[in-house]
Amino acid sequence: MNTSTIVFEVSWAGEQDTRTSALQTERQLNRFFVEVERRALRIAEISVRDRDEALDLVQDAMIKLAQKYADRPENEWTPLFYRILQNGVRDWHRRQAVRNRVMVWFGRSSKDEDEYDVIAQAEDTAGRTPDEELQNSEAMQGLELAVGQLPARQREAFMLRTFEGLDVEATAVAMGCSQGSVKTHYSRAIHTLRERLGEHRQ
Amino acid sequence: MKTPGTETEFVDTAKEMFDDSVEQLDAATLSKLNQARQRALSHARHPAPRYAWSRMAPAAGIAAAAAIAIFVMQQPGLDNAVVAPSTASDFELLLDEHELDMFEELEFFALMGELEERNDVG
Repeated sequence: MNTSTIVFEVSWAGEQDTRTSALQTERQLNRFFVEVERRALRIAEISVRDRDEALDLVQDAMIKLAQKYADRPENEWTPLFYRILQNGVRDWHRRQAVRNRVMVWFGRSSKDEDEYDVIAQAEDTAGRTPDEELQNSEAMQGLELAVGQLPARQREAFMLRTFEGLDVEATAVAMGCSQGSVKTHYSRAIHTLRERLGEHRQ
Repeated sequence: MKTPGTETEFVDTAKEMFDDSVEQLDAATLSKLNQARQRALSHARHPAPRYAWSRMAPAAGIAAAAAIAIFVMQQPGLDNAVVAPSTASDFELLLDEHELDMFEELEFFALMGELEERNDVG
């Protein structure tokens, strides 16, 4: 066996390793996205109150995670993914604010066209009696509305902790703030929501 | 929503309702999510190459934003009562690829404004 054959074999084996590793990462990413995508969509939807916009935001977050952080340890993906998603949501709100200012400047309000269509966004009712469905969807709409009206940081803390089930540490990474801030935002969010939904029930 | 007494009960009920809403996502939405996932995975397989010109994009964006800002500010008859989008960052945001459609709308609204003014004068 001459030197060039050995070099070729080592290089071929290296390439195989790289391919195997890339395939493995892709499979792990796929599993992660399947696990997280539905909840992420609903969280984004509650934040921006538009399902199509939420789908775009989730897709952008997936792409950024796949492009930039696929090589990070798998247990870091969840907070990283939500950090990207929350940044996307914040940018979306900033763009909306500017857009609304421009529309006002041109003498038109974009509020009418941006009105959230509850009927269009209504969920599939399969498997429930009409009464159950009515109760459930009314309660969820009330909760969504109340969560949507929270200040942005409280909303993020509440949804990441309650809906996604992240612990304080992971939520702090996802929100880009201290664990103390997470606890404060979360506690205020719970207090406000209980108060508002309590009033709603009365 | 049942009446949750304690904070833990409230959180559990909220989580339960949220999980229900996730379970009820319709087939069309699930299909779109699947497509989004496949797109993301294809980006992982073929990461986009960085072209030299892409390094100049921020500078080009700021230059374009400044040009638009100057153009807008020079327009006569600005209504002082309404705050104009005057900062460069506002225009940078508007130059985002997602907002290209909006510029088409702006032209339309500008035209509508002109027509209304003409009608008022006439």
